[in-house]
Amino acid sequence: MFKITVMIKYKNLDNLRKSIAVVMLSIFASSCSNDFLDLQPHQSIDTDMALQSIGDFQAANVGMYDGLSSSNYYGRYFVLVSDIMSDDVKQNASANRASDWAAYAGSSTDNNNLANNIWSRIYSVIDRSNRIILSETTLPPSVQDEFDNIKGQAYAVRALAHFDLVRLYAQHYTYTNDASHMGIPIVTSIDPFTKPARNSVKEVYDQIISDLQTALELVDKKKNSFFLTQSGVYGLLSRVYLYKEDWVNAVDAADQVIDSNLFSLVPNENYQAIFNTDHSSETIFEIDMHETDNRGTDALGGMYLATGYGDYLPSKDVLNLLPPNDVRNSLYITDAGLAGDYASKRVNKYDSKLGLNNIPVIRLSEVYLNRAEANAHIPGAEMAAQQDLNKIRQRALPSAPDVTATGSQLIDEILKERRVELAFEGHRLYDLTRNKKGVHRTDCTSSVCDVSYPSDRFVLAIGQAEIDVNPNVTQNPGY
Amino acid sequence: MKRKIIFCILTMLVSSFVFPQRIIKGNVSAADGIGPLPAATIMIKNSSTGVTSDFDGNYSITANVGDILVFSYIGMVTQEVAVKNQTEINVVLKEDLSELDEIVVIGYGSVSKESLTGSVEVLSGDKFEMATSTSLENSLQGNVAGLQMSSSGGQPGSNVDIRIRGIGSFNADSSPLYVIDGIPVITGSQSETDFGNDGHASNVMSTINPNDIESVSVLKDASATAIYGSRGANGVIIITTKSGRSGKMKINFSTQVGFSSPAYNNLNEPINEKDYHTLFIEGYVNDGKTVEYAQNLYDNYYPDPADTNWLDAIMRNGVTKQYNIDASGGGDKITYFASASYFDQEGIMLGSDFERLSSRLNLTAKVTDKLTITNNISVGRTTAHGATEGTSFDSPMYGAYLVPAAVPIYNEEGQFYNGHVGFMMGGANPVGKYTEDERWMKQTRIIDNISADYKITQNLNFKTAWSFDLLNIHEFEFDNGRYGDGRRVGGRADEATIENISWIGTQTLNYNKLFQDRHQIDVLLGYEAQKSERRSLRARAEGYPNPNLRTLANAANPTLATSAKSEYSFLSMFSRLSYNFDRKYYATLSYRRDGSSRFGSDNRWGNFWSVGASWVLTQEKFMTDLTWLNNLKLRASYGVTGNAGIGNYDSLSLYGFGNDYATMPGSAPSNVGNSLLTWENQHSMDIGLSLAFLNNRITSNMTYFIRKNEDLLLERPLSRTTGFSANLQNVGDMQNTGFELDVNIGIIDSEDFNWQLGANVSFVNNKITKLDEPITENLFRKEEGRNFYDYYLTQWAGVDPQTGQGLWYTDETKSVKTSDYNEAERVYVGKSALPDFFGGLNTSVRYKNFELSGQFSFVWNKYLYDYPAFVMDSDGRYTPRSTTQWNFDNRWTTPGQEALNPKWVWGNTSLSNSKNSTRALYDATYVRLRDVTFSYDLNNSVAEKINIVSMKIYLKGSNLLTWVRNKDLRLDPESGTNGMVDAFIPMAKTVTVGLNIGF
Repeated sequence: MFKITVMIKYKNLDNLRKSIAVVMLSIFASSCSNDFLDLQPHQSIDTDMALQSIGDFQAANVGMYDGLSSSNYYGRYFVLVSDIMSDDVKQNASANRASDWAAYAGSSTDNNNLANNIWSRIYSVIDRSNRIILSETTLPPSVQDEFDNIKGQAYAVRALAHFDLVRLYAQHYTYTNDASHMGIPIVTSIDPFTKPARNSVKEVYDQIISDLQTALELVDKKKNSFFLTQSGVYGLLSRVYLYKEDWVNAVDAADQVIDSNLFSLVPNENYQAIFNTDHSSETIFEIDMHETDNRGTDALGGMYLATGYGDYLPSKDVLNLLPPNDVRNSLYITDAGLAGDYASKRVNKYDSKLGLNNIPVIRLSEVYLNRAEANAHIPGAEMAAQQDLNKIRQRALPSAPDVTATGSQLIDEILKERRVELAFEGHRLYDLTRNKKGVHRTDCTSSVCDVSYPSDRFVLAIGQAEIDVNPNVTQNPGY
Repeated sequence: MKRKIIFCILTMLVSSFVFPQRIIKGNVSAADGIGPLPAATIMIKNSSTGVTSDFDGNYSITANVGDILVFSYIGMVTQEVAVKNQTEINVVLKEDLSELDEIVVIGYGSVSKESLTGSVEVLSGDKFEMATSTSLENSLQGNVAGLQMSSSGGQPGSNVDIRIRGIGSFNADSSPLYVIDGIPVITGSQSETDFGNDGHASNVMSTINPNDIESVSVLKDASATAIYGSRGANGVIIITTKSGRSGKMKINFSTQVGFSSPAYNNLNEPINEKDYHTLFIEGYVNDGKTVEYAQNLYDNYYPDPADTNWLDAIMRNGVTKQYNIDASGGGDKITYFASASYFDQEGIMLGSDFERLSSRLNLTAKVTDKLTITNNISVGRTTAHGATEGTSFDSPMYGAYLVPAAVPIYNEEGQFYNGHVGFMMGGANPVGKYTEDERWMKQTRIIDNISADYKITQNLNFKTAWSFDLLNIHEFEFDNGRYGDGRRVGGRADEATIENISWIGTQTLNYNKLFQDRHQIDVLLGYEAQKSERRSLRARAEGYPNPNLRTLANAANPTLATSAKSEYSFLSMFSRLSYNFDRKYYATLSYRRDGSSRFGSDNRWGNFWSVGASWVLTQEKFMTDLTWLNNLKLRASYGVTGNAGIGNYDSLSLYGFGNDYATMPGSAPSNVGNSLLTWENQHSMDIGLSLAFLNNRITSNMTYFIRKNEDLLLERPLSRTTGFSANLQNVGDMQNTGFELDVNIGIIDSEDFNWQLGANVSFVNNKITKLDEPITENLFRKEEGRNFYDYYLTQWAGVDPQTGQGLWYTDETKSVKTSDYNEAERVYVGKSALPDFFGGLNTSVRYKNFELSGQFSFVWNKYLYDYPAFVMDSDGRYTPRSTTQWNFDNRWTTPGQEALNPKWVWGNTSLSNSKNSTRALYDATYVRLRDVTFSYDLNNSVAEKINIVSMKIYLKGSNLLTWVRNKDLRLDPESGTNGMVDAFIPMAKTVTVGLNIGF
C-alpha cells in the first residue's frame, strides 16, 4: 500500500540499495496491517458478542438489577422523592438534596436535576430488560429453564420500571374516568434514535399487566428475595391492580402470594430484621445493598440518619399515629441535636451508617394490606379485609383490639395502617393521591404545608434534557 | 564560476609576488564562555585559501600583509581582521543571534525562516528559563499571536487550556499536539483521582523542565501542520531541547526564590460572625419565624460562636524555590548537554504545593562522517499536594465562604472542630481538611528519544528515530472520619496507580539538492507507527480505626478494587516536497495518510494534505531600489488536517461490566457506538505578509486565516427513553476566521542603550456553520449561525424594591418583569465567552548592564459565568450556609430599597439563585502585567576577575497588576475555562529574585 520510489541518479547504487532495504524493513517490521489498528477494549465487549451464552444472559440479568439499585432509583432518590412530597416527612434546617420537591418548588431543572436523573435511570433499566427480551439468541435445552427464568425477570423488571415511571411522572389511574390522561412513553424496542410520545395511563397499565403476566409463565417459583420470582410478580400485580382499582384481580394476585406459604410475617420481637438482614421471612423482593456497592454517601438511610446528610425527619403527623407500645416506635430514635420545630426524632428504619440496608420493594405485609384494601371495596368481603388488617396491626402491637370498622371507616383504617407500616418505603404519596386526598402537613417545616387534591404538583416535571431532545414528549401541566 | 576561480588564483599568484608572505598563528574562541572553537574556518578574503582550526581552536595560515583574514563559524558573527605586522591573531567570535532566529524547527525537519510558506511562530528558550510557573505552556500566553491560554486555577502543577486560532471542535479535544524533539507526547491530566477533580488540577507536561528548552515552534496553519495529519487541526507545538556544541565545557547555574499571593485583589471575602448572626436572624424573620426562634436555633448551632475568617485561615504566602544547573560542550565527535534541576512551589492555599526533580542528557555522536547517533533522555519526578476544588463540601475556596465565621477552627481539646457536622456541609473544616488529611500525587516520567541519521550521499539522508514515553502516576487521598467527606464511613482512602507507555517509530528519507544554482528542492518521505497503552489500578477502603495509619491495609472495609487497560494506535505515511526558485519563490506540498484504532472500522484511514507558497518580493530586481525595505514576503496556504482527539473506543457499540448486584458480576450496555465515526476534518486557508524595514528596526507580520472545521464530533443528545443520553456523531461544521498582527520595533539601538517594543493582537470570529438542530446546554445553546460560546440564559432584571424579590425579564423584549422564574424565557443574551480580541504587549529597555522588561496580556469583551454563585450568593436557599461580603452588603433589607441582591430567606424557594441567569454573568475584559523583570548583567571584565564567565541578577514580578473593566468582578478574569469559573484555588502573583552564573 505504500511504495517508496527514489528517483536519484547515484553512483554508489550499492549503498543506496542497502539504505532502501533498511527503510522497507523498518516499515514492515512495524506491521503495516490493519490488525495494528484494530484494538478492542478491555473493560467491555462489542454488543453483538455480549449476549451469546447463558453466562452472558446471567450477567445481563444481574446488570439489570444493578440498575434498580442505582442512587437515582431504589438506591435513594426514587424512594425518597415521593416520600418527601408526602405528609410523613419534614425538612431538616439544612435540607438541600431533593429539597425543591419537598417544598413543591420543583421544575424540569430542579436543584439536583432529579426530574431528569430518575427518568433517565429508570429508562436505562428498561433498555437493559429489552436487550434480554429482544435477543434472538437461542440456547440449548439444558439451560432453557434458566434462560426462561431470566427472560421472565426481564419482563417483570420492565413492568416494574414502567410502573414506577407512571407513578412518579403521571397522575394516578383514576385521575380521568377512562385513564386517558398522559402517562409515560412505553419503550419495548431498542432504537437509540427513537423519540417516543407519551402513551396514555391506560396503555401503560395494560403494558405493565401484560408484561407481568408474561413473566408469570417464565420466572422461578423458588424463594429468593434479591430477584423477582413468581411471588414477586404476583405481589407487584396485586399493587398494580390496587392502583387501577381492579379490586378482584388485586385480591386474586395477593392470594397467590399469601397462599403460596413461602413467606411469613417477621415476629414482633425481630421487627427491625425486616430492614437490616438479608432475606427476612416476609421479604418478597428487596434491592440488595452490599459493601462493594459503595453506598456510603448515596444510601437512602443517609438522607435520614444524623451520621449521613440527615436532611429529612419524620413528621409528628406520622409518629403520633403509633400507639405507645407499637414495635414500630423502635424505628425512630431521639436525636438530642434537633432543636425547635425539628425536634426530636430521626428515622432509623435504614440504620446502617454504611448504607448497607436492603431496600424493600415488596414484602408480605404490603400484600396483606393490598388485599385488605381491595376487599374493603368488594361488597361482602369486609370481614376478610378486617382479618388482614388485624394481622398487620397485631403483629406490631399484639394487644391492639380487633378492627370493627366498616365501609369508608374501614378503608381509612387500612390506609392509616398502610401509612405507619410502609412509612419511608416510597408508598405514602401514591396512597394519598390514588385515594384522591391531598397532602396536609401539620408538623411542617416547609414553606408549603398544604397541597389539596387534585394538583399538577403531585407529579414530577419531565426533565429538561428530554424536553430539549424529544419534541414528541409533552411536559406535565404546571411546569 | 570557472572564470571567478581563475581570477582568484591569478590574484593570489600575483599578490604572492608583490607582498611578502608571513605565517600567522592564533586562536579562535567564542564569547560567553563557550571557549575555543574547533574547526572554525579562517579564509583569506577574496581567495580560496583557507584553513580550519584544530580542537583547541589553534590555527596557522600563510598570508600577506594587506590580506584580510575572515574568521567564520556556524552560528557566530563572522569577523574580519586585516594582516599588518602581527604574527599572532587571536579572535573571539560572538554568537550570531539573528542567524539563530532564522532556523525554524518544523514537523520532521527544520528550515530557514525565509523559506517558510506556513504560519509558524518561534519562541527562543529564554522565554521559558526560570519561569515561575510549573509547566512551559504558561509562558506562551501573550507571546504568540492567535494563541490563547486559559487556566482553571492556582493549584501548582495544574492543567492549562491552549487554543490556537479559536476553538476547532465541539466535543473532541481542542488542544494542540505537543511534539518534543520530534516525537508527539502525552499531555494534559492522566490522573485517576486528580485530587478529586476532573483533570484540571494535574498536568503531565509539568514533568518537563522548561529550562531545558532551546526553542518552541508554534505551527498554526495547514502548510505547517498537515504533516501531522489527523492530529494537526488544533495546531502543533514543537519543543526542541538544548544540545551541546563542540568546545570548552560551559556551565550555567541559576537559582531563584519567589513569594506568591493571589493575583487578583478583588476576590470575594467571607463575612464575619456579627454579619452572619445578622443574616441568620434576618433569614428566619423573613421566613415568618420569630427572632427568639432564630436566636434559639443559633445558640443551638453555635454554642460558643467564634469569629473565624476562613479565607485568611487557608491562604498563605507561597514560597517558590528553583535551582537549575546545566553543562554543555563536547569534542569534534561527541557533544553533550546535561542538566539537573529542582523546583519547589508552595501554592497560595494551605496544603497545595508542587515539587519537581528533573534531569536530562542529550548526546550526539558523529560515529562516522556519514552516521550520527543522537540520544535525548529526560527524567522528571513531580510530587504535588492538592485540594478537591469546585462546588464540593471539601473544596477550600467553597467552604471558606460557606462555613460561617461562627464555627471555630479548633475545639477545646485542640482537635479540628466538627460540632457543625449535623447541619453544615458534613462538618467541613477547610483548615483541617488540608493540614490533617492527605491528597498527593507523584508523577514519574522518562522520555527517551534515540535516532540515527545516515548520510547516504551528500544530498540524501536516512533517519530512523524511536522514542519511548514512560509515565507512571501514583496518587493517594485520605479523608478523616470526624468531619468532611470521610465522616459517614469512619474515614476513607483512595489510592491509584497509572502506567502510560507510548512508543513511536519514525523512518524518514530526506533528499535535498540545489540544481543549477537556483532550483532548491527538498523531499521528505516518512513512515510512522505509534502505540499507546494505559493501565490503571485503583482501590478504595473505608473505616479507619486509627487516623494516623492510612494505608489501605488498615481499613475495615475494602470497597473498591479495580483495574483497567486502554490502548490506541496510529499508522502513518507522509511526504513533503519543498521547492524554491532563486530564494524568491517558495512552494511546499505536504501529504499524510493516517490510520487510527480510535475510528470506526468503516472509516479508518484518512488523507491529509496542504499546499503553501510564498514570494519574497524584496529579492526581485524591481524592488532593490527600495533600500529602506529590507524584507517583504507574501505567503498563502491551503490544506486539510484532522482532529483525532476522541475516546479510544467511542466508535464501538459496547456492553460494559462492573454492574455488580448481590455480589454477582453484571453487564449492561455502555455505549451506543457509531461505526462511521471518524476524525474531524479541517480545511484551512492562510494568507500572510511579512515586512521588515528601516534596517530591520521594524518588523511585522500580518495574517488572515479561515479555519473551517467539518464533520465535527458531537455528543448528539438522545431521548433519555433509550437508556442513553448521547451518541457521538460526526455532525456539524464550525468556522473560525481571524486576523493576527504582530509588530516589533527597535526604537533605540545603540551600544549602551536599547529600547525595544513589541505587540501582537488577534481577532478570531467563531461561528457554527452547520448544525441540524440546536443543542441547549447548561449556559449555552449551540445553534447554526451563532458562536460556540453564546450565553443562553434567563435575563436577571434586578430586585423588586418593594418586596425584595428577584426579578427576571419574561422574554427578549425586556418589556415585562416577573418574579416567577418559570415565566422567564431563556434567550441569547448577546454575550459570549469568546473575546473580540486578545494579545500581548512587551517592551524592554537596556542601559549598559541594566535591563528592564515588561509584558502585558489583554483580553477584550469576554464574559465569564460565576458558577458557585448559586450557592455562595444563594439568598438563603442553602440553610444555614454563610455568604460573601458582596452579597451581604448588597442584599435587600427594607421596602423601597434599591438593592443589587434579593432579600435573605432561609430555605428560599424563589429560584433567585437559579443556575442559568444573567445575574452571575460578568464582563471579564482585562489587561494584566504578566511579567516585569529588572536585571543587572555583570561586566565581562569584572566577571573575569572573579573567575566566572557571566553573572546576572534579577528581580521579577509575575501577574503583578490586573486591570478589569467591570469593578464588580470578584473572580480572577484570567481563570476559568469554557466560559465558567468554579470555586478553584485562585491564580497567584509572584515576586522573585534570581541569580544566573555562567562558568
